[in-house]
Amino acid sequence: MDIHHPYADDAARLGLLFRLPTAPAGPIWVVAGAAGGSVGQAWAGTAERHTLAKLEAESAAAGRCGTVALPGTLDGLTPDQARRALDLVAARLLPGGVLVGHVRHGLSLRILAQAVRTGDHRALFAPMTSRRLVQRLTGAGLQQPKVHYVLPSLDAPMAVLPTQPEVADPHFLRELAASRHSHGLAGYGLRWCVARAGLSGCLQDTLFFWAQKPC
Amino acid sequence: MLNRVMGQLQQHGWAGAGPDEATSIFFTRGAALWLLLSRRGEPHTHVKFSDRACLCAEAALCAAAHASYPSLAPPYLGHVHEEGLDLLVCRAVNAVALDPDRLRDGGTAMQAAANGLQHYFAAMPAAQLPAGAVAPDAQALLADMRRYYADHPLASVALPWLDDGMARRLASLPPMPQHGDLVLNNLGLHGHRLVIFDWEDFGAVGVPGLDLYTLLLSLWPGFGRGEGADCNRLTAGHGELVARACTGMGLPRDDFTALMPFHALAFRYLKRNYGAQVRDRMDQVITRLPTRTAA
Repeated sequence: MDIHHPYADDAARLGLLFRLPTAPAGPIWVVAGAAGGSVGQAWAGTAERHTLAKLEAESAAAGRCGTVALPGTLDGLTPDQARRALDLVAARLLPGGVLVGHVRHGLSLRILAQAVRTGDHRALFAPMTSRRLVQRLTGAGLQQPKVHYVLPSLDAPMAVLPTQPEVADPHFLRELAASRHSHGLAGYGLRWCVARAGLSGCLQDTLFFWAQKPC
Repeated sequence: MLNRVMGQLQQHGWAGAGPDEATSIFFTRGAALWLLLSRRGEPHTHVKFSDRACLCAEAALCAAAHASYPSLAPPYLGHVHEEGLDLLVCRAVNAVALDPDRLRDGGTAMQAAANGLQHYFAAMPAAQLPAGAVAPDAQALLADMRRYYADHPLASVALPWLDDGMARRLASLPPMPQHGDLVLNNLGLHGHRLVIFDWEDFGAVGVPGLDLYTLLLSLWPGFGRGEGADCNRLTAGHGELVARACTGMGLPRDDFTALMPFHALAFRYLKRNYGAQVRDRMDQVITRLPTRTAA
């Protein structure tokens, strides 16, 4: 018999991504976003599904959790709404609890082009960048924020790469060198220029993040 | 899980905690993940970890591979097995993938790769498995493959190649531990030095020629279409590769040619543990095997 692989499915690897940061024992909340339905399966049916509106309506004493997942939940929110949402969920984490999620990368050329097409000016003037995300996470009282690009895409994740230019830029250059033979000269040259200029991050659509509540 | 992994790495001195340390995480489709640790953007350590599978045996194989091929296999640093978490740690080697066209045609720029491969095949007869490991037994492998293919959709093509005639030929050859997945994707160049990655199947097969067959297959232009390597249609580059490798291993060229269908079946058998894509491609190769004539 051929062996079935536990992470052969893209959804299984995405679920694993959400479970990677070590969280304390405690309830797991998935605060609904675009991908909230499938991410809940990462915890084999033990996750509770919430919405930002529901959490806002509840008192902070209504309950706390060890993990909060925000799968795309911040997408489409204004900067103020995103800040309030992070404050809200951070307040409900147990000490040592983990906030984990993903958000559209505001500097992604694809997302910027989409924003231009649809006239979504918020995306143009207040893009969610890695730096801004770190500021918001720490501003919500969380520590050790980590922000990553998801490669090649959130739909079929095979790697997460820190967004710090000193890590990401050499990685993209190495990847390009490793796949040199699969591009024509012009394609390779263009990609090399983009990577060399430190702009490969602008080809990444998603920021995957996690941070921890102080113990 | 990640905090536990990082904690273990720091405890053993394989990872630092400074602000210039960064961790990239790579998934596989199997039960393990990879970390690439870098300092100031320079990769220094490769870590495989799993909370589902024991990596003890694989760690021993990596250590043995580096001991047998110190210039070719990444340096092995250590293994931790603690409270359901396994870590296998090797030094990261920053390598560039090989260009298949240039390697195929024996271009001068790939001379380093060709030399490395020649060294690999020449060192193979003396390669050692981990102490205490069971030496690969060709007859036991043959029996396992017969059982596997008996229930396989390709049984009618495969089983005739696993007959007593093949058993006699295998018995006549000296065992040599094979890498087991020596394909272009597992080769890289670090400067002017060849590096061979992914030793988890090291020694699973001891029949000489498997590695040469899989390498040839990965270089074969029609492999993407499910076409197998054919000794009657070798390019000059292929022919030189086969000749040098056979000489290095002390394997008669006729034996290598006669064993190619067996190697196709053995490679597919090893791949029962891996992704569906390569299994499908190997199934196509096996479907096109010539009809076995009585030995």
